[in-house]
Amino acid sequence: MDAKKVIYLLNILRRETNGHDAELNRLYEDAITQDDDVIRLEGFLDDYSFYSGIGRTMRDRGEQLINKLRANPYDALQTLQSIRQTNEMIENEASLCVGLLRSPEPFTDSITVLPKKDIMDYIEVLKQTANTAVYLIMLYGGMDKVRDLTWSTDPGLQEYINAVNMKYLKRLMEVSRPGYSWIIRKRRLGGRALFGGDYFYLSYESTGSVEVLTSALHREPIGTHAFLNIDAYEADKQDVPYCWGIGNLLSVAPSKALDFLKTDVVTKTRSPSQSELARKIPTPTECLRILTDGRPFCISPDVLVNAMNQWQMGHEIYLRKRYGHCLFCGGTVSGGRLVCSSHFTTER
Amino acid sequence: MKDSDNLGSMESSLLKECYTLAAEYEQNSTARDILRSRGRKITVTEEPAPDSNTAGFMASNQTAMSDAIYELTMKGGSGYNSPKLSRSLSRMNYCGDREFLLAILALSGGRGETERIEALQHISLALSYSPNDPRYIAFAQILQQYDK
Repeated sequence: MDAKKVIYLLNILRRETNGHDAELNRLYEDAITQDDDVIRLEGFLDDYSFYSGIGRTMRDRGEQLINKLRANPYDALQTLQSIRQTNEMIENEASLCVGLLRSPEPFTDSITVLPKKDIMDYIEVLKQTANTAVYLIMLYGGMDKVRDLTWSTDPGLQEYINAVNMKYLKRLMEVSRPGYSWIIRKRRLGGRALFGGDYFYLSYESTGSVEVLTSALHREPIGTHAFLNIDAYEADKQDVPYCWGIGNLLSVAPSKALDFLKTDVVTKTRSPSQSELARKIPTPTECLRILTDGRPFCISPDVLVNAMNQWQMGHEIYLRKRYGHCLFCGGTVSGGRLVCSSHFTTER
Repeated sequence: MKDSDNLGSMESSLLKECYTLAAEYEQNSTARDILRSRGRKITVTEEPAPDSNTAGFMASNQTAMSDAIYELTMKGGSGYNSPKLSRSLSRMNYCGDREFLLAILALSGGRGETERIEALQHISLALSYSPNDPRYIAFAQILQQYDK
C-alpha cells in the first residue's frame, strides 16, 4: 500500500471535515502502521543492535521519529521524509559494519549497527580468530609472545572487536613464520660418541625441500604443523625423516588456544623415570604428554629432540645394564661393570 | 580499515593461515563460512622470505649438539679436533648437553685419571643442569666405577 498517498488524501479529508477526530486518527494510525518506511524503521529498531555514540544517536533518532509520527500524525508526510533518510543512514552503516566484520584486514573503526541475529555468529568468528591467532603465535613464537595477552570472558561485541584487531591479530602479524622446517632423523651412534645405540638428530631445512622429502612417507599428524613417519617409528628405520614440522608442538587444538592464557603451560620436559625407561620410546606426542605429566605444553623442537634422546638413550642404557652389555660398544661385561675394561686401559 | 596493500607478504600469509585454520576448527557453519571467506580474500603472491628469526632457530643448542655427535660418530678419533666440532661447541649455550659433550671430549686425550676427573667435573655440571638425565647419570656412573 502506498501509505503516503493515503496520508495525503487524509490530510485533504481532514481539512474538509469538522469533527470525526477519532475516526480520522484511526485512519491515520492505520496508514502510518502500514507505511513501508515505518515498517522498515521499526524493523531496524527491533532487529538491529546499535553500538557506540553514532549507533545510539541513530537509534534515538529513529525512536524519536516514530514517537513524533504517532504523536502528531497530521505532520506525517514530513516525518516520513526524515524516517526514509534515517533508514538509509542505518542501512548504509549496517552495510559498512558487515563489510568490516567480513573483511580479512584488522580494523580500528567502531561498529555502529548490526543485525541482532548475526551478532552471535560474529562473536564466534572473533573468538575463533583470537583462539587461532594465539595458537599460531605460540606455534611460531613460543609462550613468551602471549604471556601478557588476556581474554575477557564476557565483554561486549566492540570489546571483542578491539581485542581481536588491536591485540591478537596485531601480535600475530608481528610474529615471523619460520622459513625452515625442523626435521628429526634417527641414526646409529658410533665412533667416539662413546655411547652405543641410536640418537635423534635435529636439523632445519627449507620447508619446500622437507615437503618433497616426506611427500611419499607414511605419515601421521602429531600436531597441526608436524608429522611422524609411522614406518620409521614402528620399523626402527634409520637415516630417514623420523618426524618433522614447523614451529613448536602444542597440546591444544587451535579452537581452544585461549585456554592457554589462563593456564600454567609447560615449556620444558622432565627426564624420564627409570620405570618409564623400561619401555620403548613412545611416539613424540606421547613422549611429551608423559614427560610433561599430562599438563598443557608448548614445546620447541629443541626440547622435543632432547626429551626423545633422553628416552631413546635411557632405554638403551636400561637394556644394556639389564643384559650385561657394555654401554659403549655393546660387548658382554660381567661383575656389574658398565663398560668393557679395555675402554679405559687400551684406548686413547 | 587497514588497506590490504599495506600488508606485507609475511603479514598476509599469517592472516590467511589464521583464517584458514580457524575455519577448519569452527563448528558453527555461518562463522565457518565467514572465516573461510576472509581467508579467501587474502592473496599471498609470494612466499615470505625467511628472516633473522629463522637463523636463531637453526643455530639452536640441539642442532649444534646433533652436529657434534654426528661428527664424533662419523669421524672417529679425528672428530675430536675437527673445526666443525669446535664450531658446534661454540654455538651452544651453557647447558647440560654442552657439559656432556665436553665430558666426552675430555676423554679424547686419553682415559687416565686426569682425563677422567676432568670428564667427571663436566658431567657433574651437566647433572646440575639436569639431575635425572639418564645419559649423564650413566656417564657419571661409568667414570666413578673406574675411579674405584
